Amino acid sequence: MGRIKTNKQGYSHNYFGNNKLKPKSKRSQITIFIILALAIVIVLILILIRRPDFSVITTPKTPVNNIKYCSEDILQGSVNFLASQGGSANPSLFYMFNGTKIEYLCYTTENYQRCIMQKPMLKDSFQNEIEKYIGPKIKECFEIEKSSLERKGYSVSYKISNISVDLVPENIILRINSDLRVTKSKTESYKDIKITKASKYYELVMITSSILNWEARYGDSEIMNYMMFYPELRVEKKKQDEGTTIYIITDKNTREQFVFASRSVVIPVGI
Amino acid sequence: MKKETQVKINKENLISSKAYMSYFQIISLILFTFSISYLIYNEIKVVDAAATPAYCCEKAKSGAVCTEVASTSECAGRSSPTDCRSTDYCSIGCCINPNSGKCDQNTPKPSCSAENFRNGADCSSVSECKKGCCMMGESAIWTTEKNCEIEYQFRGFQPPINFSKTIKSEPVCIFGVEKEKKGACVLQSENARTCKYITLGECNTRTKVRTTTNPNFFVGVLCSNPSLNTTCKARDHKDCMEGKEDVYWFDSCGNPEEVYDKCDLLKKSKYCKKNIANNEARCESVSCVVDGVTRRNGESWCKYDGTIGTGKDPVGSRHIKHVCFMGEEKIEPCSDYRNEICVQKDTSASDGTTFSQSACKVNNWRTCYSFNQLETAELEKKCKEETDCFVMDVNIANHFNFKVCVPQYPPGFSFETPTAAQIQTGEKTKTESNCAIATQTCTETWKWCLLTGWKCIDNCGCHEPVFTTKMNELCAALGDCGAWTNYNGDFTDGGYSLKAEKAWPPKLSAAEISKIKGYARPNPTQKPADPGDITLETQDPQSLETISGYDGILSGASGALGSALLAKILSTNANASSASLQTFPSSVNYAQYASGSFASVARGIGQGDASVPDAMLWAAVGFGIGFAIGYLMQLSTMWSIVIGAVIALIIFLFMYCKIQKFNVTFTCNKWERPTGGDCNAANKVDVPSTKYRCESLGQTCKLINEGTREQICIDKCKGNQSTQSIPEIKPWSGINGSLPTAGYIYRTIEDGYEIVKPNGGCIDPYTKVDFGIKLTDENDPDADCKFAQCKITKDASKPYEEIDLFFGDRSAFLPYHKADIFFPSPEALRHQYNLSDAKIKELSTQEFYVKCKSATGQFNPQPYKIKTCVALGPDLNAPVIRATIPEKGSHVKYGQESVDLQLFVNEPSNCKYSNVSRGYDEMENQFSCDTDLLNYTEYGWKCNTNLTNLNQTIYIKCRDISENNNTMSEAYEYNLLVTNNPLTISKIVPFSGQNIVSGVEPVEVNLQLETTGGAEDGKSICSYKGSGFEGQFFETDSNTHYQSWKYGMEGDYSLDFTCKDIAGNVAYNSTYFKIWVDDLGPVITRIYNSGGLKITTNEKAQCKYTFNRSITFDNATSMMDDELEHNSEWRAALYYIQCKDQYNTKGGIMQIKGYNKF
Repeated sequence: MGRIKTNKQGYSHNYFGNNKLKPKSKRSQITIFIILALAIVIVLILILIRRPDFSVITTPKTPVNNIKYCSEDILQGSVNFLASQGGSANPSLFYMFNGTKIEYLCYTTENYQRCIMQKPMLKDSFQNEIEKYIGPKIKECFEIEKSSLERKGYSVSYKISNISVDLVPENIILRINSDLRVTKSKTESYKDIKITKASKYYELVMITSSILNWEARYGDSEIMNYMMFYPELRVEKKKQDEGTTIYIITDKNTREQFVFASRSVVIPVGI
Repeated sequence: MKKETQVKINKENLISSKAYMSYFQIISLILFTFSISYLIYNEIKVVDAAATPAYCCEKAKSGAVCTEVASTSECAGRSSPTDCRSTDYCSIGCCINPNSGKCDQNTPKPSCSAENFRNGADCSSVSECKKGCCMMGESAIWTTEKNCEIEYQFRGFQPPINFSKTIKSEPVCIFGVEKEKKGACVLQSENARTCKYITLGECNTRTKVRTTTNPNFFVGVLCSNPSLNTTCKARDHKDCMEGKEDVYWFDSCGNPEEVYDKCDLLKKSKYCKKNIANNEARCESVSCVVDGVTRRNGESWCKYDGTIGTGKDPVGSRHIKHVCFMGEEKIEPCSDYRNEICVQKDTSASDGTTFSQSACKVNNWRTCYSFNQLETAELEKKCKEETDCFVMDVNIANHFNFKVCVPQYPPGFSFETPTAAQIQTGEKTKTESNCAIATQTCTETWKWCLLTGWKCIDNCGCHEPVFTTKMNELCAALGDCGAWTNYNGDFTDGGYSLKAEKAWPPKLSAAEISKIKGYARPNPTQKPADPGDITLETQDPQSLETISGYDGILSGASGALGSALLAKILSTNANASSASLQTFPSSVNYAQYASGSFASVARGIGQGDASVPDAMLWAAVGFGIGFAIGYLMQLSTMWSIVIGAVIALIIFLFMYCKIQKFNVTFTCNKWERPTGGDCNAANKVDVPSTKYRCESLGQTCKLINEGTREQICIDKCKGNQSTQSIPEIKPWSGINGSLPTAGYIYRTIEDGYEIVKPNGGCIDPYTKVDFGIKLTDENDPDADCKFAQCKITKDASKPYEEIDLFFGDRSAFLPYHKADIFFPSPEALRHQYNLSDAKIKELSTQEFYVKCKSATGQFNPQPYKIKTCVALGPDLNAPVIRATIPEKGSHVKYGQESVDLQLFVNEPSNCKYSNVSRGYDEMENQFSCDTDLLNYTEYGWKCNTNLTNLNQTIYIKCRDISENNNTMSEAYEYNLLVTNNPLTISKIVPFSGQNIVSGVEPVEVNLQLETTGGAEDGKSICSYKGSGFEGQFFETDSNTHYQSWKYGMEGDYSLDFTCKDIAGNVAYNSTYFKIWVDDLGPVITRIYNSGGLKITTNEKAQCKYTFNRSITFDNATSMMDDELEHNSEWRAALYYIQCKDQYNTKGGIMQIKGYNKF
């Protein structure tokens, strides 16, 4: 049986029981917490030092980055919208499908005739349409950033000389030829912004071109072939009453869609 | 208080001879007035399928480029009154995209820059557009060489490109090529030696090595291989690889290793899938289980709404193609209106299971009609060869039987409502015209004998149930016509009507109706539609079979039956080529073909009908025998005469018979949509609701929100109290107040109106008066719900369903109905039937009763009364010639010596003619005229003669048969235009035996004909047929005829030409020619020095030379060419010489070394 010692304050110490670890005062508790915190920090630092391929990436919130984030969102939304209408912002020759105007990319008014390509060089046409559509919206991004910086006391000037969009395999590249100058105590200049966004629209447009060529040549296309050859794609063909065919091409992974209409080799109703 | 009316009927009056005469006259009058269109012709008017655009517009306001528009006001660019194929500014060609290297087919000239546009070319014949296999690392794409370069650049691959032109098909490229092999790419960093399993190209990019050998790359070696000493540990976990079907091992660095589990997509229909819950990858089935049947991935099959084939498809039905794709059942509806049919072929796979493949194929029902102009044997042969047609044997009676080629899968028709103008003029809609082809009259022969009464002796099946049943089957096989069912099982019988002059055939029996209703369900034993001769053309099946691991079944998965597009082309022409589409008819009068076949039926009047023994002759014989008996019995002459007379009388009574022909008519109308149908049946998930499917369910069904996600079929009249009311009938004033006929008015009476002159007078005899009724007002928002079908009768008490006569002979539910009435002179009736004044007065007043059924199924309980009367009094008017056949001034064929001339006179008359104008009695030639009042035709009473002296004008006069014998004072002049010279094809281009030589395919061939003679100095319509091509000349109806073939391919061609002019003169001729492609360049046959370098070639050529090894023809120096000989300066140097012939085909480059002699 152990002895029980008492100190001056009359607290008892039990060296064989839980009381051994009990803090004797608030100060000692705080001391222990500080030591533990220091130990954790040291361990973390050691871990970080021992892992050469691990690094914490932080992106500084520069004016250019803010514009990039803004433009990237606009780019994605705009391309999705345009692609859902056959690549046009305001389709002039369209079929109304599910409440959306779908541009005819290959069209004929006549019965039994193969369609005439309405948008040859579809990729170029789509790129141009994106550029036209996002131009004013990107300018808004610059304006927002300008206002934000001006509120912080900066003097801001910018000039957008050109906006170009390139659909390339697995990506969309947006180039903004611009000159942004931010002045407070000193002047910082930012030139040209390039945004590369992962996207399958290049592939979707290429398949669209292929389908259109079948439509123009034979009056129809076999969508199963495309799905077999390109398993990542889902191709839907919806034949409408009066001879129009709506195609919906979807990339299964990104869920991006390109929708367009065609009217070719139309067989009339009745005699 | 209930009001009752009691009518006392004297039964004796009802069966008196006068009563019989009255009955007969009443029926005759009704038949006269409402059935005239049936009595002569089954004329079919065909309306073009669509309004033909008249102008080619470069840029339409609608945004369309190079499209045909109806008016120049719709055009924002250049326009010409022709189709776009005939203009320069809208010529079609292949457009090469310099930025993507891809090519676009059928591009109009304005949409492509001049340097990239290949006018008239099919992209497959443009060298820059030739496709091949572009291999990039582990992937391959089927594209052009230029696009391959661009793809390399985009994807970061180093040139030179790996592009193969020897691989001939897309599947072989994508699945079959030996891809660039992968291997371990060791990546050394400061602290670790990691690895990526990639291709050499990718490894070079990562390791920034620019050579073909890379010390960090180990082809075929896995990253976990211990010899590489990397941090990657083997078989760390299992996972799926993108685009690969099997489950793979992955090392600890995330690199794929060997296959863990082979899923075998094609044989077992399994594919790698990762379970999100436990993060485990495994092979899972991607088959589809449909209605208890397991369908493999890639399998496609057909589903139908109801019974299909042999003309049984229900109205509104649609063929649907189903596809199993990665475990999901997808539907691809074929074109609506059964313009496409779903065809299926089942093949046995190597494991004993069945693999179904299906395709939507164009329904070639139009072709079926065209065969009906052929002789029966040829018709049967051709019809059986076309899988979309079948021969229907309509064998009803001994002389009313015929074979007709009809669609196997009847087409659907739009449920169009005739316009007010069409209703007023009686013009048939497209659908009505099509259905009317099956409107046929069978003429029965009946014999009446004094003792036995009436007995049918010929074509007696025409008043039997088989007549109604078989004719209805024919009617329904033409399309949405007749008494039939929709896909929801709603049967209606408003699509046909019967009319008989003697014995009526019964309506369709309950058993027959039940059978027809059954067609709304798929027949459990029915086979899917036969694909016919459709074959795979999209890929080469042979090449597919060689693809490792795909066992040839891919051809099935990708549509071995051929895609719908192939179906379209192959069904047009067995020797399909792109050129064949040019010959596809843009509009054809199909009905004329169809009606042609029935012409041979000619009401089924048999030859050599039973002749009636001449009762008088036999009576005379009997008298002789009786007299002889009396004489032999030594009776007095008087008694002998008495005995003879008695015997003669007895024989006469037994033998007296007469023969009369009676018509039985089956009228085929468009199918009547049911009233009160279940519109919601169109809103199924598995088959999309369309206008056709929706409207086929009921008169009041309407598709709303068209083009939106909320597209749905509703009952537009349901729940609307005002639209459920009974039909309200009012007088119809027609378009611009044109009804009733000028000179008459409607005068309101109780429960209806009467037709009278403004002064209250009756209708003049022999005057046709149009009148009408309307069911709705123009501005009524619920007008559609008030459309009604109306019938007319003399018996007000007859229930609606028992009335046979539709108002104006139109069975459709319409907002307006129009009919006409025509009275002969009552005096003429008296003359012909010996009627009393009282009877004449009674007949001169007529009352008709109209009953209608609205689109919502409501009837008017109180019949609407229409009262008319005809003016009494002596006939004081001379007859009028209304029409002639052939028309006055018609052309007559060359060599034709006589013409059968028919006259139509407004009242029963006798007519004469002469070569000079003179009085009726002096005229020497008599027409044979039908003066029977009953034989009224649409144009009046008919007179015939055979004219022989066709060059002379004749003068015709007629005299009516009234008691006044009114005679025409002025003669009717009639002449014909005789053809003096035969129609001849005087010039043909290409001429027979001509060789058309070109350096490249396709070759443009211009066919040209010139015609002379005939009715209008060669003006005629020409067509060509042969070598698999057939069609009318593009420019014709003139004495010169042009047709351009832009896509002529190498081969021998033999064409027959037929030209026909307005008089029916026909000219035939033919040509044969050869298209030869000279694809060999000139060959240099001799080289020598003759004051300079001199070479000779084996054909006319242009030669150029250079001293630079890399010769480009365009930049080289021209030699002095003189057909086969070519000269240039002399130099002691190495010449590079190349020649090209007149078709721009270049020969090989020849090196010639010149030495100077010392």
